[in-house]
Amino acid sequence: MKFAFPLLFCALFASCFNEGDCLISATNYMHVQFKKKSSITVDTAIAFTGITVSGTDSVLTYTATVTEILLPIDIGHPTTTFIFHRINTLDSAMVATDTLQVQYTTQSKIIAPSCGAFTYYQNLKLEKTSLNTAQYKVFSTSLLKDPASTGTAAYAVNYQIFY
Amino acid sequence: MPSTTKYFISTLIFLAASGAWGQEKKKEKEKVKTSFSPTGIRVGTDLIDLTKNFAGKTFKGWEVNGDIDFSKYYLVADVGSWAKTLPLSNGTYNNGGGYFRLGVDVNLLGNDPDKNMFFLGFRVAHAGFHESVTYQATSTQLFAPNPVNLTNSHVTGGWGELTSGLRVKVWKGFWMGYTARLKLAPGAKGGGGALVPYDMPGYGLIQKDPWWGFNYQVFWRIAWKKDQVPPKK
Repeated sequence: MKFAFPLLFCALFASCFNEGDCLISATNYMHVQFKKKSSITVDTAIAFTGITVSGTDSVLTYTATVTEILLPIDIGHPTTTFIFHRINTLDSAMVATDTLQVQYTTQSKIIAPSCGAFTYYQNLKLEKTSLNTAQYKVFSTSLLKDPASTGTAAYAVNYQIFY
Repeated sequence: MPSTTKYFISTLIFLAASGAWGQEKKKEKEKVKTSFSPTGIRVGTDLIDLTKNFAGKTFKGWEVNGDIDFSKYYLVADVGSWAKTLPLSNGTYNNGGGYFRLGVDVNLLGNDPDKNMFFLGFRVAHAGFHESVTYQATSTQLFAPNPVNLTNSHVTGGWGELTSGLRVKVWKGFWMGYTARLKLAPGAKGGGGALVPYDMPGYGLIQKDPWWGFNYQVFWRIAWKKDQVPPKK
């Protein structure tokens, strides 16, 4: 019993020094969902031969149709251009090439010395696009990830594109 | 008039007179008690800050504390400086700057003749500092790591504090004590937005609200007037 107070005191101060887990919500992935033009709440499956991303020679390739994608933005530049090479899901014939050029600002935050510093991408803006204004809808203008979740659903939705 | 009534009235007059005399005496005492004329200044420093300078390479700083008595009330001022170099898991963070606090402590021991204190008080604080961070921003796909180097050259901020502590006279003009601080409502501006201000001198981690602080202090008191504390009954 005589140790109860010192133990409580230690526990109280130990909690003050506890830095906790590194919960990082920063990401450079932009979340894009594809919906039907005729019914904008319904998913639509899109096939691509590839998506070209500016700032890199690599091309993102997809072997199956997708209803949503995560696109990495260029962490070294304030803009990134994506070119979607869209194909028909039935015969793989080229349908169209869509261009999306996004602009963003960055903000650095230090989470904790043991976790490090991270860049948050904000004020996302569609600077240039081949899509008409009725063909897309803007959701979150920040790139964020729920650190407690996994998969595509963990990322904040940034755009919906209607095909 | 019956003699019993005379006696009763005489007693009342005597009690009333003695009561009035008692009141006068009490008023005199109160006059002495409520003398708000300051009798000296106590100047000290925080030993924890000084020790931290030698204990590691991450902190350089000092803090000077002072108080002036106004009966059981003390006007308090603190001035300090700190600079930190923190290694991050993916880089380095540096800051440096100064701060001051102004406030009032109330001595719960009353107007103690030895200026011993067990106090509660508050502070209003202000800081001016600069900070910089260097780290590698990484992408999980496609892009190579990007070196980031950012500076907030002039950030100003403020906060409030609730304080409690002790001051005990150890020898002649020498006092020792501690101050525990509950720091509240931090705010910082002027960074430019590219780097969120992280560590404010005098406060600590800005994202922690409330936050806490502790000083273990030594003081020297320079008295210019003898305190008029009434003798105890």
